[in-house]
Amino acid sequence: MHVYLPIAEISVNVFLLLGMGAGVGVLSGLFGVGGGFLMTPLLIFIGVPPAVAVGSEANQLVATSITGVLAHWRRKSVDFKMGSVLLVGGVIGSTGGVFLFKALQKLGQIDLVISLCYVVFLGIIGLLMFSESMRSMLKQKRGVARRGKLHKHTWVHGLPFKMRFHKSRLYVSALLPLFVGVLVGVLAAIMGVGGGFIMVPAMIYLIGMPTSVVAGTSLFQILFVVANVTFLQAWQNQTVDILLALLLLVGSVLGVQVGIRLGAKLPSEQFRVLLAILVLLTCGKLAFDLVATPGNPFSLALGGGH
Amino acid sequence: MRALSFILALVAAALLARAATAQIAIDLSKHQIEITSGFDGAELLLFGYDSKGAEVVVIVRGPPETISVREKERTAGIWINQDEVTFKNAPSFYFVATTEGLRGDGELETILESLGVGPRYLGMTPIDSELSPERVDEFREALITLRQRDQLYAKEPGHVLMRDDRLFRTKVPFPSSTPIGDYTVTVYEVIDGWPVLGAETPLRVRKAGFGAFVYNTAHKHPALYGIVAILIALVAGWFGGWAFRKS
Repeated sequence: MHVYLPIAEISVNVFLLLGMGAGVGVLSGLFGVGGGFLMTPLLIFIGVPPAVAVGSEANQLVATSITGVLAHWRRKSVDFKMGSVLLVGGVIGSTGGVFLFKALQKLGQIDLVISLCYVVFLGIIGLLMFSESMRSMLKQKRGVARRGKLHKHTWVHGLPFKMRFHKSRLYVSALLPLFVGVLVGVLAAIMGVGGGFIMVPAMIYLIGMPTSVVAGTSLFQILFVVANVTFLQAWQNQTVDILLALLLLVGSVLGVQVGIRLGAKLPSEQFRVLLAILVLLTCGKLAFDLVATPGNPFSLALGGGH
Repeated sequence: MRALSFILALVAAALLARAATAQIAIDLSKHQIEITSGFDGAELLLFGYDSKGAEVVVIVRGPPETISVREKERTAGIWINQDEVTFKNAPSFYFVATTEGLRGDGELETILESLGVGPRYLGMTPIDSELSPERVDEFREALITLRQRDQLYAKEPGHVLMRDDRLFRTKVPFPSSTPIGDYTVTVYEVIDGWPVLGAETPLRVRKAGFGAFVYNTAHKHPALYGIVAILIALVAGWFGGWAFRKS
């Protein structure tokens, strides 16, 4: 059964979209990631114009992140103060990102920038995750747990504008979460991702937040950032396809629940390795497409460029 | 098939009245294609009557567009868009069909060229390009090839079938990505090797139903559309979380 997507202006099989939503949803539930970094390339792959893929995926992420934020709120694992500082950065970054997106689109280089961003970030995150989970798997086998230093003093703690974050039990410069927020905001606007896969490691290793509040706080920031991206992409570029977002959403809402239940039963370390491999494969495919000789070097763009 | 012949005969009878003054008359099975949520391409039947029984050429053209063609080149190992040519008056859709008599020896090509409507003479003009005319032609060819791949430009001319030397008909296929707008459907009679304008009939492709509503709202009230998109996602996400909370 086919459905015509009014904004993407293509006809796609409904079950393909539901299946993609469910598949990425299961992974989200399993690993606690938004899944935008897999969904956006998949959408582009099936023929959705990149701009519409990014805008509609941001719209879908509004739904997945509100579900997550509400769950974490009930468990009181959201640092609202930290989240708000991240959010200020996120709004600045994503607003700038949407306008950057528009400018790059006019230059005819948006597809290249999207691909390059994906290759770079998926490559870094995939390698980090892979080595991290391999290391901890090896540690588990040996049964040795070496304690690290509780507090390391680095250049990060020398930055000005220090703020106290009670929930995270931190006293750090507000510039740090602000910077992380801006970076993630730009990426959300250009790559059509929530940015959790970059923000979570940054919160743990760069800001030094306790892992218990990381997921809830990052989701809190992501919710507002993807809402901002949705609004701006709809307002500036008319690239949000509600129908596409809704179809993906139905699949993912169910998929996430399956993933969460699966995740509770399966060994998490082995699955982290699997996720890392999946991330690296996506990265490899995109990198290959950038380097390999294209079947047809020509492409069309409506409306004329510069 | 019999029903079709019957319809054709009826239409022919109706057209005959007009044909008393006009030598040629045509009509389409539908003058409007509605792109609804279930749209997956369409096929229209064009039929007509020509009192002379001449060879005919049918041309269907979508509204003209301004379109950029970009070429990727390898730069520092990766393929990056470099040269670009922008054409104006490129039809968003192009279809041609002829009767059997015009199918050999590039005859059709000559006729189309003289009309300025063949795939290679579509009247697409480049906007102030610094590239050489040969390069611009490469880009023009690329545009045609890409549109043929998307089934928006006909690769091969379709067949116009003649019956009783008077009635003719042809099928016009529209892919699922058919662009919206006002189309022109033109039939030329070919007399002594020269095309003569025969008849024209209008065709409109438009979005309809829920899809049209979404598209129009997105373009006419973009800010409102953005807010509604967020609200829908919030409600859906909240509902999803609530529905699975206890289980």
